[in-house]
Amino acid sequence: MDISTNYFDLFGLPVAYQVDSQALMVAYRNLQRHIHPDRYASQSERDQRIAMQYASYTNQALEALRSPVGRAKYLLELAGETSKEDNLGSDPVFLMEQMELREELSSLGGERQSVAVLEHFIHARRQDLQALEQHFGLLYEAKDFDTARKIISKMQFILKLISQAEDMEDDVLI
Amino acid sequence: MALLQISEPGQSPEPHQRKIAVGIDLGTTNSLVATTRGASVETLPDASGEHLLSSVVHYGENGITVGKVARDQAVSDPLNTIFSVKRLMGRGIDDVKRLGQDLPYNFVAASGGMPKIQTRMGDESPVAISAEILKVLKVRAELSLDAEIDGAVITVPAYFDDAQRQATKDAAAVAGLHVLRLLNEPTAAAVAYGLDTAAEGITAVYDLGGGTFDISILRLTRGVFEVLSTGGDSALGGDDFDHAIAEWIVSQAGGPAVLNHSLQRKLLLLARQVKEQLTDVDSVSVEVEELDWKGVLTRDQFEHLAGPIIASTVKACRRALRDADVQAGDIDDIVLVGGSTRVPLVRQKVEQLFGKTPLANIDPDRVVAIGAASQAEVLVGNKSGDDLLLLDVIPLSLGLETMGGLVEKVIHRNTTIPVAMAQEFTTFKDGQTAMAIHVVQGERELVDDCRSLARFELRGIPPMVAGNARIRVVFQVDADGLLNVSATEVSTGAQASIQVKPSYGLSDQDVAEMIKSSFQYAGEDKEARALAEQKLEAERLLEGLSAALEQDGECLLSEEERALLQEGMARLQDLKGRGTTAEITQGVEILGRASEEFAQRRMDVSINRALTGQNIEELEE
Repeated sequence: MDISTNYFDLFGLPVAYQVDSQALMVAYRNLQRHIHPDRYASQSERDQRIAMQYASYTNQALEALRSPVGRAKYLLELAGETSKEDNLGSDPVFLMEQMELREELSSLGGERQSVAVLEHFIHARRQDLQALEQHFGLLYEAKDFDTARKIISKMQFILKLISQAEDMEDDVLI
Repeated sequence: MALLQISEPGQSPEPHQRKIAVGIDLGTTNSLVATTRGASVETLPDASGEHLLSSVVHYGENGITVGKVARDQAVSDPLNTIFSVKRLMGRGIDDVKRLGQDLPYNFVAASGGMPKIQTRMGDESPVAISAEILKVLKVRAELSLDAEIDGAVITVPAYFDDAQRQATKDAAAVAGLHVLRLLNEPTAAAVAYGLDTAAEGITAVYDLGGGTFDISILRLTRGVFEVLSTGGDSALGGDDFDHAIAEWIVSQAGGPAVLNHSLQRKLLLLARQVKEQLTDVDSVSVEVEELDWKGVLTRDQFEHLAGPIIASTVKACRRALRDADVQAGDIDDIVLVGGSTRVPLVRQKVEQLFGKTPLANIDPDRVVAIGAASQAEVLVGNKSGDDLLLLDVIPLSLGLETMGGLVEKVIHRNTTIPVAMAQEFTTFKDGQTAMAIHVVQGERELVDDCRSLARFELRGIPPMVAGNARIRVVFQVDADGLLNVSATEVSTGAQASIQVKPSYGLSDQDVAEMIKSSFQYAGEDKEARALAEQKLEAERLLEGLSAALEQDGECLLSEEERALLQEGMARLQDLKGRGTTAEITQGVEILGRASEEFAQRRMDVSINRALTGQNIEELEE
């Protein structure tokens, strides 16, 4: 497959952290219109298999580019910065932040007005996430990949918190 | 430039080549078959005009019956009358015990922990029982269309896991059906409505069937139907309302906790009638002679019983909305599917959540089969390439067991399929030469809380210090939502791969055996069928290649490459006429490999074309 140059090329987008999500989706649907296995369902098994490979690759590429964390990881991979382990364990400030946020979240369970409080918590974390995304974009442009990698770990932590908060919200709503 | 031929809408360009394709809704309570006739899609009735086939199989003294005739045996012969077999598909014996102390059958554990049901005709697997229902629908379609069926789209609940999907596909194979695609039920319903209204926007499909619940959120944009998220419960449905009513009756009557099979079945049938009546009236009088009890069930009381079940569907809807990253208010249309959506409280709760009146203008019992048939028509090749394209998702995350019984997710739920994802793992001990790979499906963090799909071993890892080996595990999910896993040690290339045959499924050999005996039963010649299939495959390859050569041969291939391909094509053409099944199979493989590079170049060109074409489209959007 010569489409394997990189995911951005596949969708005709510039290699950058900021992605025009509408352009991404337009390109994605266009590609699938041409390569999806359903388009080859009445053809030979070989053609169906190749279509499945191309469509699989395209979906994999979409998954990577459409989420802020996936995109960040992929950019570092393209920059050849994959194998190194991130070393957040030694960042005492972040560890403190993590602990405080976890405690805050666990204190929000079981309250009467918890839905509103949880919503507020989720909203605040989404803002954290946006700030981290902006920060990552700047670090990536400045080629400070070591710090950028730490930002990814922070994003993942925040995402996990949000999903825990959402689960708690579900339990309260029922 | 040659003039392009345009045929009438809905008609194939060459009528004599029109293939016969059907859509089958294999439901918990009822099943249906539908097909395209002229410009419309219709469900097909049986000889007495009934469209719905009760999904009930009776193993009687004089043979197997399916449908209403079978259902009529339920009270007199409960152990040999199998209801709701869909709830048992792809399940282990332990699941089944948990699921149904209230299932009035005698289960026996077969090989691999798969349950079978004792009947007077032997122990029957859920796959074999489902195949009986499919066979009846196949015969119905063949009689009514007076033709052999070329292919079928079979629907499954969107929330079915890999084991349940594989079991369904196996049942179709046993019934002698060529499966074009397993299609998710809510997606099929959305297709039926999409064709009806052709409106762009976001649709929520709420599908509460007899034994399964699905919620799917879809977006239709310029002919592409994208499933944004899906959620549900593959063991929750209208049956649960019946069980709740039956339990209420027993508790009101102060009856015994343990009932005989026959009374149990009778109570469930009675409960279902009462439930259906409560759609139109406010209260129903109930009498059970065996329990010497008379009483009245009001709609209020029923809603009190059904409330928790409906509440858990609403919870799944909320999660699906969140996964799709849309608000309830963003939904343009809500579609109701499944007989259980006739319950007024269900409608009321759905309306409350989405703040809109749901659509139900296509019969909720038939809408899935209709959507499936219209997709079957596309997949069998009767329509042009400009039709609706469906992009569906995987309902549950797929992952691997790692140290400490934890799950590492490889493909997350709601990822669009087909998709391939790879993850690298490493060894835990120095000198470790083998690795046990345990594939699981589910959202929870602990392996024990997820469904175990398969286990296999990668051997031949060169001894290295712990943490130095690099094991690359690739998960490939196809467009049916079925998983294939392969593992490779990167530095040595040691490889192991399996088509994930679920822990509670049938082995390939079992399925082959069942197909063989069903051929014998039908008096068909399996060898002749296999030869015909291989000839067809050779034909497809040859036809595809000659069209491809004509279109792109000159610009994508050198003269030498072209000559080689033409030579190979001539050879296969010749083999096709006089070869054995094995020879033709081999010929197809050889030519397939020889033309692989060409096929890939064409695909790349097609991608470039798609990207250049899109600038124009962008302006339009």
